[in-house]
Amino acid sequence: MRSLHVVLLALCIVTAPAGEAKKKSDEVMTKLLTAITGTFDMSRNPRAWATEMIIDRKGAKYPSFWVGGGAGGVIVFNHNFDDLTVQSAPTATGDFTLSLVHIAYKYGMDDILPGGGWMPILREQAVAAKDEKQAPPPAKDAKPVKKKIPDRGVMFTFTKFEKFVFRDVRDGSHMCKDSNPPGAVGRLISVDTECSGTIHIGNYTTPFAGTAVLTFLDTVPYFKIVATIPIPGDKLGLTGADAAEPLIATLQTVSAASVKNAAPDAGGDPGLDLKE
Amino acid sequence: MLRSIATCLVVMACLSVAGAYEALPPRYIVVDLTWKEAATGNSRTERGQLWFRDFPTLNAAGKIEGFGRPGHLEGIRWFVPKDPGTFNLTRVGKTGEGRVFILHDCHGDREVNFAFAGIDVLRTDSGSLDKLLAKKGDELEDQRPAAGQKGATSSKGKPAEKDISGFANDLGLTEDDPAATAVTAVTASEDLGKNSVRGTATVTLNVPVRFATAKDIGTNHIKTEELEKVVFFEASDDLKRETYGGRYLQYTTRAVGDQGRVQVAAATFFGGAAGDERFDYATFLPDHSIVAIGAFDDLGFTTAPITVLGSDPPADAYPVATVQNKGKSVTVRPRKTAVLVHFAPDLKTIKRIVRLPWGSGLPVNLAMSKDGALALSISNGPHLDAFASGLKVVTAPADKATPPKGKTLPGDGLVLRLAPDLGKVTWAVRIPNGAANVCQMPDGRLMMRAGNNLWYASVDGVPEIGAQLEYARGGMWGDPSTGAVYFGGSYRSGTGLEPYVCPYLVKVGPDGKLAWTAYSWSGPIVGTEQFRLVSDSSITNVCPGDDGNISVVGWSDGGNTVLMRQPYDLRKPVPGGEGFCGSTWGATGGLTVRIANLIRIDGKTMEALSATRYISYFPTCDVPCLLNIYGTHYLGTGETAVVGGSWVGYVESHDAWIKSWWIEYQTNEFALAKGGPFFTLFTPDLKNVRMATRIPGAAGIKVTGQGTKLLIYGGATDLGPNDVDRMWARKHPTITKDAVQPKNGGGVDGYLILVDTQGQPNPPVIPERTWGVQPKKDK
Repeated sequence: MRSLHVVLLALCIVTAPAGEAKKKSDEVMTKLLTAITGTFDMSRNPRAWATEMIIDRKGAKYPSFWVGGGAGGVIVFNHNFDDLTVQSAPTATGDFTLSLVHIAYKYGMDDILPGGGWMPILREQAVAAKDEKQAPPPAKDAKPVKKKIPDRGVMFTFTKFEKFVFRDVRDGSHMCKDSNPPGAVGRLISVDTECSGTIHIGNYTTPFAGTAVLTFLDTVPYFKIVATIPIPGDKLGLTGADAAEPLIATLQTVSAASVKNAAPDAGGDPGLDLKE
Repeated sequence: MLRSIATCLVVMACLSVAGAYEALPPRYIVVDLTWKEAATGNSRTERGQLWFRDFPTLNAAGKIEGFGRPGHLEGIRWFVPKDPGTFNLTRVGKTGEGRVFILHDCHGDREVNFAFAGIDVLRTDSGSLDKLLAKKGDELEDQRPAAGQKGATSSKGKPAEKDISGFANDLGLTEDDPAATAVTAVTASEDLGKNSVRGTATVTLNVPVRFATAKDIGTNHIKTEELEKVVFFEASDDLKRETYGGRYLQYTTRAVGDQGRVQVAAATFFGGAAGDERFDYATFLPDHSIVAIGAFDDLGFTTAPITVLGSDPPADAYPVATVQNKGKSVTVRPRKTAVLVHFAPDLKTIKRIVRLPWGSGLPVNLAMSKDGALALSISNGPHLDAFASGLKVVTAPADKATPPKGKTLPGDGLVLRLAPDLGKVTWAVRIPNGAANVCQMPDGRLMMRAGNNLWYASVDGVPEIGAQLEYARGGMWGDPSTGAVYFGGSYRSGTGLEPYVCPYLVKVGPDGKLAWTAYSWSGPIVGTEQFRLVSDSSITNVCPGDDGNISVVGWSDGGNTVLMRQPYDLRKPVPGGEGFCGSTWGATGGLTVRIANLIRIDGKTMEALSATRYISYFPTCDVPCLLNIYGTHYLGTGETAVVGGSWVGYVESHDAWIKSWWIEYQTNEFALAKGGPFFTLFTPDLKNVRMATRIPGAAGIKVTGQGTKLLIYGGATDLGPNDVDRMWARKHPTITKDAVQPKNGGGVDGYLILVDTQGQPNPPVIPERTWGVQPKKDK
């Protein structure tokens, strides 16, 4: 964000008097911050199999492909005024979980595909899920149980996003082709961040730290995340090459639409126009 | 409605070009569709274009003939959606083109008035031209049936009438059906020269129309009860005949061929009066002679010497019977048995015929050892036990099999190792509960597979049980040079996300263990936002080469297919992709229901080395059309031979074995493109062809090869000079040359074409162009 700010400021200095440039820069930043705010319920998937993951292992030819969806959690993107920098900066509060439950299974390649060692766990979970589905419904007078996120597949819980840096703004549309309403076109605002959280599968849980690119549509409050996360295979029950060589997971998902937060400054059109 | 419109068009075409063989209606007609909007209750009318999926044509007998289904209509391509949010009829439409309205299911009756004129009709039968010109105006009126006669109508005084009950019957309508009558008027007919005629007609039909919209979950669509009216207009105000262009012309211009070097060395029928006789397998022996294997129940048509490997049943055993199957009468010939026909290397003589006793079983698979000894797998025939009792048979060990619920286990099959001279059975292995696929291993053993079970028979025919395959569905193709076996096919991904049909290719090593699985991505994986490779796809053929690589053939119903990605990584495209006739832009679900994909894969690593798509092109609208590959052979020269079937618009090389479209085109601007069974020999880079030719009359053909020779085998009907073949491959007799049996014995006979890929040059004679601008000649 700071780098973009510097560029914008420099442009403004060249083309306009200092005071006017500062004002214009602030306006642009306000619009950017407004565009990326929102409250997103990640249990609402905009389409079936909204989350996809590819795991590569260093030096290996064959990647593994996974799909799943948002399993739960709410993430709020907003912004705070930073007294130190005297600027507003994006913030993220809350957490959400993505669950990858389905792998493109290649017969005879359990030992070759990255994460193939998780197949027995996935199979057990699939059987358990089927049993649960076929279980009789609870009695009417039974105490309501708080709905938990089911323990299915490889689960990535994102708990922290920080160090937001605006990357670019471009025209775009169809963030999610199957669910965008007609007319959901606008500008796509990309933000680089660092993310962290936990990875969980079966009886194994371990923290992770990676990077993520968040992309927001300025006209409709969607966001898309593409995260690159190193997986410590040895801490997640994997053995052999998956434990010895680094695994890199590339996750991608799209949120359901959310309600936008208010703009940081009073009033104003939240639409983004950087052409002026 | 589909039927009614087809009827209408056919009637009109018939009237305009009475007696013509071929009629080409326009690609679309304009319609106004009126319906009542559920939300507002208001009537709403939109104008769209009704596109044709199959082009109704008439054969010499005046019967409807089309591609696949007669006169099937594709749908309405919607160009002016004024309010896209109100309804969505899209099924296969593209954003830039508007929306497509598919008329699929049939519900309810509606009255439709057709009123379109000026439909451009092409004809090519010059023999009927005079008759056509004689049938103008009043003369047509004279042919109307008298009132009360069959075909007469109460048409409110329309100017001309025509009995179309014949067409109606073709469409499955009864004489009592209102659709069996129609009113037509021919107002003009004009000779355009060059064997072409333009007919102008007005047609009004009063028919029950069955109408429904595509179901598009989550969007609004016109319901049957909301539909009020469909009005069809003429094709266009300034209708002009459509000339050929686009990729059909471009690729044809490029396909000069190879000076006729790829030649038919010999071609022959082999069969008698029985209806369905064909060669299922064929191979070259080490001495270059040819063995073709098929199922026959009578060899009385041939005088070649016949050896029977056993004792025949009595002459009256297993007679021909007619059985009912799902309400249809089916002729069963239980005496059919595997017959091996041994031809000389030049295919011009039969050395001998070897057959099993009548009723022993049908050929299932074939493998050959290095010394030329064939291993033949047969299914269970009524005489199999008696035949086996005369042989030294070892039964392959197997666990006690239990049939799936509600099903019975299939009978035992038999694998026969024949002596190199085909004169006797060296050993036999009985396969419990099913026939086996066989593959020759490099160490001399024979791999046999039935279901998930593998056996290995030693050189002496002692079977050992092999590994239980985890994954052994679909077709099987063995690689004799490595002992690897490939299983390929597709499965349906029941996830509700496209693609629904997902391909897989599995390699099983010589040790019977799974080596790798290629593709096998389910719908959720490839239908994601990132990839969206939503074309249904399947593996249909694998041809192992001597270099350890394999040629893989698969189909897809569009260009967005996983077959054009690395089999192990969706992110990586396959090198190549667009060789000869490989461009797929403009593909639509209606016309482009099958695209052939040809991929070269490293057998060790499943790395796709090169690939191309292969399709035909509808020549007027430049839309990719259906093309299927049935068989492939990879020559040592790097060239790839394929045989298959194509819809209209198959691109022929100039030196094709029968007069190519390019030659006809020089003297007739409106020469019709054709399709049908074909043979293509690609250059090693797949960017061009040495030969691309139709094979009229052929059916179910495959190809194999040895050195520079290729053998196309399968079946064929006999097309006389005036007979009509399907797929516009018309009026050319089935190819025969130096034939053992030059005439067809009846129905489909066995058929073989020996191809010399390195013959002496025999360039085609290309006439000077007699119309339009002369093409520039290459310097």
